[in-house]
Amino acid sequence: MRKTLLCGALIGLAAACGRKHPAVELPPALAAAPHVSAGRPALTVTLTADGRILVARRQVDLDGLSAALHAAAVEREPLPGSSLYAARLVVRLRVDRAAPWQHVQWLLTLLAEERVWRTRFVYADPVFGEVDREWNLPRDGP
Amino acid sequence: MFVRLGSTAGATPPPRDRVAEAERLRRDRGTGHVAAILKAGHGVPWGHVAAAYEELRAAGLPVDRIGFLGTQIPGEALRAAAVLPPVPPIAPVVLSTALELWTELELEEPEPQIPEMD
Repeated sequence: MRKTLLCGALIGLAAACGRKHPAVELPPALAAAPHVSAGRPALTVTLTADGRILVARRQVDLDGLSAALHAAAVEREPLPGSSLYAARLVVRLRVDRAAPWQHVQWLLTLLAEERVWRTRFVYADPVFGEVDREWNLPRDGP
Repeated sequence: MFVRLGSTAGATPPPRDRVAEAERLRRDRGTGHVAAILKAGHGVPWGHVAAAYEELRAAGLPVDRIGFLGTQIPGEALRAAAVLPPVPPIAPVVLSTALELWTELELEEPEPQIPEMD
């Protein structure tokens, strides 16, 4: 059910249309909120208002997202034989402001299941454009 | 202990009230850490949840941990967990050392936009 809602009918490559990332209406940033400091390169995941998930510009379903996380983590930092392959992966979540909270929860739950705890949500700042906010997921242990 | 910020009657308090309450709690308890526990209806737009988080950050509160109501979260949250799917629990050490800030969003519909009159 959730996969149906999130993925829609199409699986495959999304049209890049020359943009760096797919266009979404991001929530507005407040100037007083602290920006995230620059760190290691992050993997960008976009959730559109109609429930499509895109990793960079590539549309995936939830199962495909898991595979994409694996691939990105290995590409950035190969850890052969480690179950914590994704623990050092940073994921930027570009979520359309109109997307239901439930869809965001599903994304977060999947990230937590994959042990991707270091997440950022992207906001729209009138001066700086897209800005990131840290939103670390709770771990299931100390 | 969870601190409920918000109305149990279903209305979302004005953002400045949430921030003011959070500031009062932090001052009274003398803690510099705040964990936000988000409770929102399934249909609440992400923009509302994101705005609540942004407001707390803008107020200077170190909201560095985010929890979600789920079946594995103990205490008061457990009784209200049915609305959300199971999620990984918050580590006990977090619950015992941080001020829990329960930001409650129950908006299902955005406020109507009233056009300006000339």
